[in-house]
Amino acid sequence: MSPRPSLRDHRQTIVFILLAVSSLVLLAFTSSDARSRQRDGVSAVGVVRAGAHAVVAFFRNTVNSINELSQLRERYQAATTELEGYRTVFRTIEELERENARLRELLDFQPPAEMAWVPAQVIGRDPTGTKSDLVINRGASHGVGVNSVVVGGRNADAPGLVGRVVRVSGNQAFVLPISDPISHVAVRSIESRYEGLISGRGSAPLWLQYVDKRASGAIAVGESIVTSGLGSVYPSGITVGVITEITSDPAALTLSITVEPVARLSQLEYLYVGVPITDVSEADDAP
Amino acid sequence: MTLVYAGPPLLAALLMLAQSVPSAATLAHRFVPDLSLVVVVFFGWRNGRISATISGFVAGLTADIASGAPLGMNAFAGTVIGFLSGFSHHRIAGDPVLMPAALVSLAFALRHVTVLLIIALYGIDGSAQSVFEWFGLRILTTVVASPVLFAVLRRVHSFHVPRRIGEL
Repeated sequence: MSPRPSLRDHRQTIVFILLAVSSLVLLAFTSSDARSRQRDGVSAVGVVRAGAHAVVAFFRNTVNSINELSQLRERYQAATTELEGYRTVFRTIEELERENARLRELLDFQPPAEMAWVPAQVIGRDPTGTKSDLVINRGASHGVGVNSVVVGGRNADAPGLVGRVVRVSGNQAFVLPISDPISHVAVRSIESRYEGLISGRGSAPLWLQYVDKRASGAIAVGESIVTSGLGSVYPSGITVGVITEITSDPAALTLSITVEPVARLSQLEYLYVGVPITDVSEADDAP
Repeated sequence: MTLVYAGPPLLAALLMLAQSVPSAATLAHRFVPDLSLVVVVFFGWRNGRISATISGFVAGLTADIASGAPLGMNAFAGTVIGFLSGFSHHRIAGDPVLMPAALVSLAFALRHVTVLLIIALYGIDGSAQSVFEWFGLRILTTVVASPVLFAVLRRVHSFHVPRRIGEL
């Protein structure tokens, strides 16, 4: 007669069951509304990640700086010339702003809440590759909150919409890019003014849906798409992308439009996060 | 003995954390091999189920914290991968290139399927498209890296751990 198996003989299975059940219990708590429980952990890992990122960034920046020195002189000359042009434009804008203010006053118009753009750096991505969230080095202590708008682009002069903040800790925030399939943004075409909903498709260009079929004569390839301001997350007027293809299915009620985002979403390094101006001044005052 | 228990989870967690840093802001994140997964599979094959299960759990928990995913999502997937990897202990031996590549590719695919199931079951924000976005490219780099990392870990392992320890 064989001896009865003891607890020790089953310890592999017991360890597995214990850890699997722990994972599922954790998941049950954190997958619903207990996101805040993660903040402490995120902050702790953030310190290590920020340190590692700083070391990598130091070496990369040193090499890049040497390469850039040779280009700086030419760019300086070009920038000086360009600045003269902008000064002229600026004077015109000042006049227009004064005129605009007078007209708003006449119409008793309430301007949208003013926003400041806080520069941020991308310091991490999902290590398993199963999520597209970006990690940036700005958090609640810099005035960043959930649903803060994030922009960035090929250059600082023409930023495009990158996405919105979905989770925040003290000094870090997670950004859901507009290319993620669960991201949806209310937009309108800048010239023809038709509205629609733009959705992410991963690495493929963005997909603009629910555009009235009557727009097929007015909307054109090359036209810019901006946020419409509907939905209360994204303010209006932020450039999202440019139309690259328009498809009209006879059986469909709306157009299907492909949009190339202005921001190069897979190569983002520096971003700007929109925060209320009061939060910025408080963050500046903080020790 | 402490090294046998603490070493693998620590190594898997450190690699998982490292994977999230140097790839930031570049196209490189699409190509970064999942070295943490290779480590879990290696210790399942070499040490057995307990070592790999704990390593998978710790590495997964690290991934959850680093990526902002709900705690437990990758931890559960890692636990399953670690436990199943342990079945190869004393059962599979063979080619130093093909054997790691086969084990790791199976583990990689299973991890993604497990994550997808969790997303569907718990109603977490996410989709099959985002989970499998760079699947082809990352499984390729991970499988290519696996024989190299297996060889390195074999050398380190044989240096630190006496052969008589055997099954944990």
